[in-house]
Amino acid sequence: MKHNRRHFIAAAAATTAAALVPLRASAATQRVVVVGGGMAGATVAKYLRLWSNKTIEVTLVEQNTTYVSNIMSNLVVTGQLALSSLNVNHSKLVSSYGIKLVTASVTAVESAGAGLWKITTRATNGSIGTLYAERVVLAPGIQMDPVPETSDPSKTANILHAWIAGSQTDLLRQRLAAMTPGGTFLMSIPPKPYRCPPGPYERACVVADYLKRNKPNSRLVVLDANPGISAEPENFGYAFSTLYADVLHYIPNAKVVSVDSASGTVTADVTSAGVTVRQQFASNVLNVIPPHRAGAIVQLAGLANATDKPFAQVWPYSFESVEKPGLHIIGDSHRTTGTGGTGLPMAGHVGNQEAKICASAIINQFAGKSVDTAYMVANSACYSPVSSTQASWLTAVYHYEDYTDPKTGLTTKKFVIHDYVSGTTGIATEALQPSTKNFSKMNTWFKSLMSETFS
Amino acid sequence: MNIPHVAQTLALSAACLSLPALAQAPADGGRLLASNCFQCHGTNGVKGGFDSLAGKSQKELLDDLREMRVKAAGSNLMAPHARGYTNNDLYWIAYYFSKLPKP
Repeated sequence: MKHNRRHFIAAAAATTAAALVPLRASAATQRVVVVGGGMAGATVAKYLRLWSNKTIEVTLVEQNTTYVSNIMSNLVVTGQLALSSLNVNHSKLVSSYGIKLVTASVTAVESAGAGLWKITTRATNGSIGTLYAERVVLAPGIQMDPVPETSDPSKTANILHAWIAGSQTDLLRQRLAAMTPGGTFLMSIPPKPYRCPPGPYERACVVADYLKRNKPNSRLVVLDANPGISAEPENFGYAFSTLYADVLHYIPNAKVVSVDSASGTVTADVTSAGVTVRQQFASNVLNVIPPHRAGAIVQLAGLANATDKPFAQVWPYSFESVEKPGLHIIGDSHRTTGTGGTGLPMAGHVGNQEAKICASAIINQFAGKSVDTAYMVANSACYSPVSSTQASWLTAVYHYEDYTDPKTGLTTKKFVIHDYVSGTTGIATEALQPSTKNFSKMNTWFKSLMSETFS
Repeated sequence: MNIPHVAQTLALSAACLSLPALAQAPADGGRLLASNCFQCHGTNGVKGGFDSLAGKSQKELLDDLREMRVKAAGSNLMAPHARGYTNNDLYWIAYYFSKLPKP
């Protein structure tokens, strides 16, 4: 008896030891770890399973149990929607597609040898975990650059951006609701590229509408680091200069330098007719949207480290990192404009499509096939409320093709917008004008997009 | 997929619809291309917020798309959206949906 038990224990120990050795990829072992369960991360996890007939093993690591939609969150700021109405979770992805869900943050993504990655996770209770995968998709979204405190620029000012939906969105709503009539709501827009091109103008519109109806004699000051309205210039231009002319003061070429947290006074460099003047702007409610960089794990993985290159460079047809093959970066964390940019803007609807392109590429790569760059097409469609009852929209379809940069003369391949009937290139199309019909369609579009992404 | 048969069928369809000569079929049968429509029309063209596309005939889908392309750009999002695809893209998008099971 004793002999048998010792033999059994020895055999069991040997089996356990063998199970700890990471398995190398065989035809049957194709694992992908997805970091981040937002619009892009959730979609890539789904399509890796759906399009591989569930043969690829997919683990989704997301630190929050609930994802709060950024899309439509401007209507939470004005109190028109409850924040809870924007909550989704990943339970349907788990039950419908057999995605493994790990609720944790990722603290390291490291090479574990040729074609193998080791992902270190930390759960809320502090326990450390390890995952192995043949490919990793990073979709952690954005981080905000710190805004200097005016009295001591080495310190970070305490500002509210409400540009990653959640508690900050609700806090901004509370502050707006509590603002004394006659006060100033000051918001700042970062230089491109930033998350959601029409988003800040949309926020300015619905806040201006709110102020007109609820806070008489109040002002909305918009400091825009860009030279002009950088998305839907006709619709937002009309809203700013006509609908909200008496409430909204728009200042382009205005770059935030620092914030005095205690008083809410913003110091900004404003350039007009080639002359830059440093000015101070007082506020009663302050909403600074700082410039962004890729989510922390992208930097921890050794990508996007240069201060002047805060987003990771990827091959547009697969979103694979140009620096680290086997790592893919989708959603708001990769380079979009300029040298090495994909040409696709940062937007939830776009992130969903990038995820499908990425999933398709990974499936091809696991099968030993090269990515098919013919018919490499992405699209964007985005509705924006301009008041509590009316909305406008923009749309663009992008083809992966040769693009010659007019400034440098260099030709690279990226996603380019075309209208094949009118012949125009490079510009998204916006609605002719805002309407209540568009507002209704906006609700339909939003529900459809969220359902497609999370179920 | 039986390539010669499909090519023959497509050649007939092309003649009926007066489309320009077809480029080579997408390697995945049009799946990734057509997935551009899923955000609004649902995964595999069903249960989306807008019209269901799955299982409609290729001709019906192409007729709808071509009609949308010539509408004034600002009136409906689908007008400029449809104009963003080449005729060849639309051919394969319609082909893909026509092969999917009806809801």
